[in-house]
Amino acid sequence: MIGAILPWVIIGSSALLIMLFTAIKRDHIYTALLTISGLSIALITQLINVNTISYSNDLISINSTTSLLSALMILLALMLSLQLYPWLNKISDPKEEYYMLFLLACLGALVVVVSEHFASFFLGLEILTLSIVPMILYCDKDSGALEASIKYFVLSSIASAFILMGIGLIYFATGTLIFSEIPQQLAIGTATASDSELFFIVGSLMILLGISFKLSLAPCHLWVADIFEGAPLATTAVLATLAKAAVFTLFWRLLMISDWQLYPPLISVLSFVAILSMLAGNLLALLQSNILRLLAYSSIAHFGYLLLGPLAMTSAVSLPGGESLAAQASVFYLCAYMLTLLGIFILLIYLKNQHKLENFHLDSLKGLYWREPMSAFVMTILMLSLAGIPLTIGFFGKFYLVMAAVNSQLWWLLGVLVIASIIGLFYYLRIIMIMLEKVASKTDKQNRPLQPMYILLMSFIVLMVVGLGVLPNLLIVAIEAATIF
Amino acid sequence: MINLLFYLAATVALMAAILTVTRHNAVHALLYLIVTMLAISLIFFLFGAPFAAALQIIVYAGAIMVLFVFVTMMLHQGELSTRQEAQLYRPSQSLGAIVLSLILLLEVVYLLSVPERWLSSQQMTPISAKQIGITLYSSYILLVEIAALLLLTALIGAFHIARRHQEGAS
Repeated sequence: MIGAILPWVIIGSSALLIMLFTAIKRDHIYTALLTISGLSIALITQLINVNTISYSNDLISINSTTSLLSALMILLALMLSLQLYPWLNKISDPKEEYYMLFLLACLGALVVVVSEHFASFFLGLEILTLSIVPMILYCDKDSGALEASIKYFVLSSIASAFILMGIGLIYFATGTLIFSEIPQQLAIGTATASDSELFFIVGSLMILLGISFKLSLAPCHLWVADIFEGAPLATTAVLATLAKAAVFTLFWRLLMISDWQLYPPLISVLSFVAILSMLAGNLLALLQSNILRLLAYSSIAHFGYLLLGPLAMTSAVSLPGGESLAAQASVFYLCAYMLTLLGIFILLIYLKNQHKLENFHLDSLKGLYWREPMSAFVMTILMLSLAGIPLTIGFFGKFYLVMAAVNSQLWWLLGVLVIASIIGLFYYLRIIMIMLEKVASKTDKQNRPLQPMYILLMSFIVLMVVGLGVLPNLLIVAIEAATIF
Repeated sequence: MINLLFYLAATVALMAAILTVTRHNAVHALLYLIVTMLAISLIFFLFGAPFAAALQIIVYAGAIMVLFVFVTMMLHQGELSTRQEAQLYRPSQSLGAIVLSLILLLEVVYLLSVPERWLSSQQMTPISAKQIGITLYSSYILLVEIAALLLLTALIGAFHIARRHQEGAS
């Protein structure tokens, strides 16, 4: 067991070590180094674990799929932690707490990904939420961050309350909190009392409601833009990548393990949520003039696309092999989207730190090509990847997802996906056009040399995005080997 | 019989919860919230979980709620609010809470006075504190640790936010 959860132990103990060191003496650079090295060691152990260790008990199940996704999470956290130091170095508040909260948020995400029991799921989710709230409010003295954190705190408490009520109802219907025991208990339950199925459906809908808040899926998406705008960039990145990826993975596993496909009402509600998210996200992003709000709305749309994966898996009419294809497609798309989005956030953090961006209005990106050619080039590639243009990883993610959806004959959803992607193309290309515009007055800025760390990170991300876009086989083979469903 | 007692306690819990939400004054709302906690604790007791019932009273009604009441009361300071509070804290304001908790008290007295076999036809096995402890520290040990980290997270977050507030004030 200890081998399987070794990455957790490493991340948790680095958070504790930072706390102890901070109690003795505050030192920013050591804290940053400790965070980075802790995450690196955790990543290495997690990667070793992927195909070697599988462990499961009532609470957690560590198999090759969850290990692969955990490794993805740690990789995202590691890449983000490299950009924390230059940002935190500029603020006047104490900095060490941010690293502790960051590591604990990462740990919460890892717990959520592997959880197999409602109690571990809920505790992990709460670690994630409770560490993100102070991270939103970390340094900004302005009212934007305060508003964002209060909104997030209150709304996510309500979502958690819904999830708890749903868990209660499912426990009432089945008498178990373990995901894998739900179907058989339900089969016994329906034989004796007919309304246990009803309670299960209502409970699942409540959990769906809570989860669609956490993933900002369409009917519960109102908070997301304000929080993306108000929170510090690094926190937004944690919220948009780590937190959402963890909750999505959990949701997907819950749906598979507890056999949602047997209950048509749940599937139709889920399809409705997917359609609404794809359309609403893209339409809202269409005319946004703030890049963070634009990213927030585009993330709604992307999670709408991602829902096609679970829906394809639960489809009743899928061709043979459709289920595993859909699982692989979901994992691939998740990896592709997370890497691309994190790249954009790292880029924005860098530009903000170097004072290359006054605010996040799209106008301040004007002429970026002439001021900051490398960043603008990377940004272009990442935007093309989000839009799903060939030769990027985003294209293959979408291609894979469409293939899975065709295989499971989800024609309506597929139609909406195509329309939504075409709408989405407009605003991604608009950003590229704005960056290309020439601004005469601002060209005389002095050219500071780029940080080596930033060049390294950016080349890694471009290599991943383009490299895996050209040779997707490398990732597909790894995912095929790891995905078991 | 035990069903009747449950429904009575559940009604008290619901009524107190509704009264909590509809009160205009925070302290009055908290008073009803304590009554809700007490009623829920009685429900736990009826289900054969005396340990959970005791925890409910000690942790919620005891520690957290009293802390809540104190904080809320300390926020009111100055001459004007003292005069307002003289109006607010008349004994008649607590009448509702007293009546509701009296119902709960009567239930407890009844439960303690009648012989056990009157209450329920089937034998109920109460869950002891020892059983809970053994379960928590054997199969659910991981959850205990995760919960510890959750508390640590909340502590660090609260610490940071509170200090920031203090610096802003000074």
